[in-house]
Amino acid sequence: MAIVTTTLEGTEETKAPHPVLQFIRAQPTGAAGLCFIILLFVAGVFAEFVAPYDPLAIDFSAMLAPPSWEHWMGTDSFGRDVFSRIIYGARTALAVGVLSSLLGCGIGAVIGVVSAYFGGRIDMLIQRLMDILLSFPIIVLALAVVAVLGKFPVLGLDLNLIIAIAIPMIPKVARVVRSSALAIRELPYVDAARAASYSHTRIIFRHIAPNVVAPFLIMFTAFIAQAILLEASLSFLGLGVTEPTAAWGLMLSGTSQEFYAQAPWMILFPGLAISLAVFAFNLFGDALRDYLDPRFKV
Amino acid sequence: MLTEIASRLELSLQVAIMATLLAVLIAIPLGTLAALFKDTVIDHVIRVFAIAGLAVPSFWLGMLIILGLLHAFNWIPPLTYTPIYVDPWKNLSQLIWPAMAVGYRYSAVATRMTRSTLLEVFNEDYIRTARAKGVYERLVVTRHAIPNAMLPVVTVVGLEFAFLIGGLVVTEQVFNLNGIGKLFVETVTRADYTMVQALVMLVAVFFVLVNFVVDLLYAALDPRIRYG
Repeated sequence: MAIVTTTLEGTEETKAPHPVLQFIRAQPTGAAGLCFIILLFVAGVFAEFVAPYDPLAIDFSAMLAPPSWEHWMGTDSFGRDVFSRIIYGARTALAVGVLSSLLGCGIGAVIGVVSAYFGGRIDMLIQRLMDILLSFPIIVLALAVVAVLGKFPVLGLDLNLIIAIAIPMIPKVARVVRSSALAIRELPYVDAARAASYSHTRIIFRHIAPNVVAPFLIMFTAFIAQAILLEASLSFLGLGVTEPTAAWGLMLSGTSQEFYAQAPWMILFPGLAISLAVFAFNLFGDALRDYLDPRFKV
Repeated sequence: MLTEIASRLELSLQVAIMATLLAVLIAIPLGTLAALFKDTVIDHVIRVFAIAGLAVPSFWLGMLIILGLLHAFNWIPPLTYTPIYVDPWKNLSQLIWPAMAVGYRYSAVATRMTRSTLLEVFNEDYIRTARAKGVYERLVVTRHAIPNAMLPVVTVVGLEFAFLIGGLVVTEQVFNLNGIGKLFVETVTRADYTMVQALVMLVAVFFVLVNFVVDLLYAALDPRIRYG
C-alpha cells in the first residue's frame, strides 16, 4: 500500500480499498468468523467486567438451577454460574490455544525453513524425525507428553500443557513451511544474499522467513482451532487444565458426568462454546487461506 | 500386559471399523451431491454440515447422543461390553452410538475431500468426452467420475482410520467403553510409563500398517499404479 500513496497527486481515486475491507468483501463467512473471534477475545480479556458472577463463587442455594434471568445458562452442581464460567473459559481456551499454536507453529516454521535451506543430509534427518512424530495421533502424542512432563504451572497456566499441545503441531507446520521454503531457496535473490556472504542465520531469518509468512499465518489460525479442541479434550480427561479453573472441557467432565441427565445445560453450553470457537477459527482460517494463497491447502 | 491390550483392542477396532463404514457411507453420497450441485443450497448445507463436523468435539456429541437416547428410549450405556460373537444385536446397539460420535468428524473430513476431488475430476477431458458421446449423466458420475476421485478419499479415510484408535481416547470415556483409549488415559493418569510406551508403539505400528494397506489399495483402484 505504501507504494500507492507515493504516486502523483490526483491518482488517489485508483487506490485499492483497505485490505481489511477487501477481505470482508471477498470472504464474508471468514469475516463473520473473525467477528466471533474478536467477540471471544473481548469476553476473555475483559472477563471480570463481562461475567455477571465470580466463576468460582459457590452458591448452594442455586445448585443445578435451570437457565433463568439470573443465571442465563443455569448453574452447575456447586451452584456456580455456567455463563460466567464460559466467559472465563474463553480466557483459558484462547490463552492456551494462542500460546500453544504460536509455540508449535514457531518451532515448526524454524525447523521447516532450516530443513529446506540446508537440504541434503540435514534435511533428510529432520524430515525423518518429523515423519516419526507424524505417525502418532495428535491426542496420543499430547497425552504421552503430559504423562512424561507432568504439570508446571506458570501464572495460572500449565506450561507443560501448552508444550504438550504444541508438539503435535510441529511436524505438520514444518512440512508445509519446508515445501514453501524449498521454492524460495531457488530464487536468485537468495543466491545474491549468499554471494554477498551473509550468514546462514541472516539469510534464513531476513530473506527466506518473510516469504513464508502467508502459509505460516494460515497454519497459525488453523492450529488455534485444533489447540482449543485438544485443550478441551485433555481437560475433559482430567489431564489438562485442572479444577477449579474455568475451562470449557473441564465443565463437561467431573460432576457434570453425573448430573447432565437432570441438568443438560451444564454440558450444552460449554460444548456449544467449544464448537463455535473452533468453527469460527476454522472459517477464518479457510477464508484467510483463500485470500492469501488460493493454491495452498493445509 | 499383552492380554490386557488384546482384549481392549478388539472393542476399539470394532468401533473404529463401524465408524469408518458409517463415515464412508455418509461421506461419498454427500460429497458427490455437494460437487454436483456446487454453489447451490444443497452444496452450502452440506458444507456447513462438514465444517461443523470438524468443530464439534466427539465427546460432546457423544454426551448429546446419550442425552437424546435417555430422553427418547430411556436407554443408558451398559456397564459391560458384549462381544459381537456372543450377541450381535446387543453388541451393535451398544457400539453404534460411539461409532456415530466419532464418525461424524470422520465423515466431515471425507465429505470435504470427496467434494473437492470430484470437482477437479469434473474438469477432466475424459468427463467431457463421456458427456459428448452421450453417456447418461448418472453413468458419467458413477462410472467415470467417482472411481477416479476415490484415491485421495481412500488416503484420507485410511489416515483417519489409523488415527481413530487414538481419537477414541476421549469418546470411550463418555460411553464407558473399556477400549484402548480408556486404557491409555488410565495409564497416563497412573504414570505407568511401560504401558504408555507399549500403547504409543502399538498406535504407531498400527498407523504404519494402515498406510501400507492404503498403498496397496492404490494399486487395486488405479490400474496405472503397479508395485514391484
